[in-house]
Amino acid sequence: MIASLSYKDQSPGVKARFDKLKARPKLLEISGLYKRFHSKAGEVVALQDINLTVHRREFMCVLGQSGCGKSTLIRILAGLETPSAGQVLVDGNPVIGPGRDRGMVFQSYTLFPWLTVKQNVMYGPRMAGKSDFTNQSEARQWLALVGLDKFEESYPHQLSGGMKQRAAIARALANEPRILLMDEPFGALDPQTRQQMQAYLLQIWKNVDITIFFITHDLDEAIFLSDRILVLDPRPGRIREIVEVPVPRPRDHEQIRSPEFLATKSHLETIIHPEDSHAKPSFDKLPIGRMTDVNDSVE
Amino acid sequence: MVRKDLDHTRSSLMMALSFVLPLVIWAIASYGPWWKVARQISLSAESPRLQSVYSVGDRLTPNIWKDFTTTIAQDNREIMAARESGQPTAGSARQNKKILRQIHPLAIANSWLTREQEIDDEAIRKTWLQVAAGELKAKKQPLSTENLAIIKSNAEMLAKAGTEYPKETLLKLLPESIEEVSRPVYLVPPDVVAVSFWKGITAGKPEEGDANAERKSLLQRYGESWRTIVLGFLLAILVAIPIGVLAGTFDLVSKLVEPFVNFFSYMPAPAFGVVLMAIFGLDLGPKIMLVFLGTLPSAILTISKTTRGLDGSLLEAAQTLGANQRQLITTVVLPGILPNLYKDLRLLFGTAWTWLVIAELLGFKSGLAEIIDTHGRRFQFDIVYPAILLIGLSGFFMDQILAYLARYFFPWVDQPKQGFFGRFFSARSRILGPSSPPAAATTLDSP
Repeated sequence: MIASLSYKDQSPGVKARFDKLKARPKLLEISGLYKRFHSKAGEVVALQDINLTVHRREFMCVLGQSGCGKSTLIRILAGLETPSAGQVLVDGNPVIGPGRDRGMVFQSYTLFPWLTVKQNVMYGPRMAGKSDFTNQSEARQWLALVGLDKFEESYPHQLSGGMKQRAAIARALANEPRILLMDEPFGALDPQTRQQMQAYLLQIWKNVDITIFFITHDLDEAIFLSDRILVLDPRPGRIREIVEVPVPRPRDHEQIRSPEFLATKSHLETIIHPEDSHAKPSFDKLPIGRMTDVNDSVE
Repeated sequence: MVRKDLDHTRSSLMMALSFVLPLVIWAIASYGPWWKVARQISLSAESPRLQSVYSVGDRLTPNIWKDFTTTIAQDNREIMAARESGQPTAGSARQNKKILRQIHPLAIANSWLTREQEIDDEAIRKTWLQVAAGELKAKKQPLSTENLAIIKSNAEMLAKAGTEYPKETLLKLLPESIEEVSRPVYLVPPDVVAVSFWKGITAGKPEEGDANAERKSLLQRYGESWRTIVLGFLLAILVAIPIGVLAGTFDLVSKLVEPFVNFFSYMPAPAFGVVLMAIFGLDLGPKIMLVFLGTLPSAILTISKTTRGLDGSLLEAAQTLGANQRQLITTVVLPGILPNLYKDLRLLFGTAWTWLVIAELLGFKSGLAEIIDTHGRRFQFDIVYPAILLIGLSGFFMDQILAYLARYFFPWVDQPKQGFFGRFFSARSRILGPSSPPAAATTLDSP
């Protein structure tokens, strides 16, 4: 029975959730996005024909091998790169550069090392000219939300990786953006901290009116977090498929062994690593002698 | 071991040794047995038992000197013995006059007598009596206590004899000498340099009317040097920081400024010395401008490089948080480069000392370089070395103090304790207990 379960089989609850989600207003619309880079080797097409709609309060993950253009995509959304063609609308407004409506969390924490954690969180509102008094009290609330209220006076170098990334999330949220762009934010963390951070992120997402666009190359992370997963094909980066995750919410890490989770994961594996089989080295035919003196076979 | 850090005690020991070793080498080179020791006579005597006559200024080997002094002492002992036995050795007036004339070189040195009074026996006799009475004090070339006793004893006899000379022989003054080591003139031993250094920094203003009244003391010269270097350096960084930061931030400025600055930095600043004198005169102007000119190009280049080295993702993060171009510079670039900029300035200040020495020789010489140049030309290296040492110490301690202060200026930088002061204070705080670590460099783990 488990084997026959497809990732497309959604339980009535999940199906109802998706219907509700799709009825929500469109927050992010990407149409005809095309991006090429000029390099010494000539032109490289990084993204081609990207069309995508993300609804309000949706959690979307982007999955793909390295070089599939996922970082380019999120940098275009953030306004840090300009597309060669196509356009991006956030809340109906075209993206022309970095802006306060799109918060970004980078893999390399990018906290300002000369500011305390609280001052880091206050940075965005300060740039917008918010008064220091309201800014301070709000910053404390954001830090409480990510569980860093005790460290508001610490400097970033005194924090662990997970704490730094929570501070970075608080800093991005303090600007009250419409969408939170996260570029492999947990990629540098160890597995335990990573799972913790995923749980934290879902908690935050539940409590804050925010849409999340999340880049990862970790299948478990993508399935655990998202409503829908955008799978990109590499070179040039194109949309392979948009997978609706059938795992019901609220999520916890026990669900990693649930049939829906496993079915989704096996499907993602087939579409993400189709070329891997012939890339494997054939160990039996290696042009070298046995490199051990032990005669007993290990198998 | 390859790339293994030493423990605290050992590394402190090594750091101390790195200073002690050169000192030891210097001391060995100076005091080693390979330099001939000679005794230069400053007060001579004659004896029939000696085969030769030694006069003031002669250099004797230590052995001959020993023979010389013991012989004269022996002569005196015999005279005393004869006197005590009641049959004093007879002495003609001529002999006694000769003995009395012994004091003449000393009297010249102390300016009691003139050079021409060598055989003016009345004046010499008066000198003896005055020295014995304490009316004349040997200030410039002091007398040994033994010789003072001999003078008193002879003066007594002279007084007794009235205007005549005593009939018995007088005591001879014991020879005196100055030890001389025949080191090369540039090898000044550590103790001489230390004494000269101490004299230099403790000397007050020269007295009015003194021959050296025109000369400034070491400390005054030192003050001049500081004024020149600080003004020149401040001027240079005042210009270099804005240009460097802009060049590191905007490619346009970088391309516009850096190629020429790079070219300019290859033209040695001292080469412009004459031009600077033509423009700014001979006083403080050209000196400050040379330090300025020497520091400026490398300051611009290093500061722009430091600015470019700022993590670009911080700028991107700030942009996504809504910072505009101006805010990017004031709230990200400037605070972001500050610790490294501080480090750059420390290094640049160190090199500014190099320019200082050349700068101070432009026009009217001033500062420590004046001392080095003037006294160096006269081979007075015991005065030259303290001045050089002062430059080294100033540069070194300035750098160390600034490095130590960095942890207070930039508490957000997770830096290891470095340098002498860092070690010193960390060792002290460990002994005194947890007083107040400036930056608790502890990593807090997530709950």
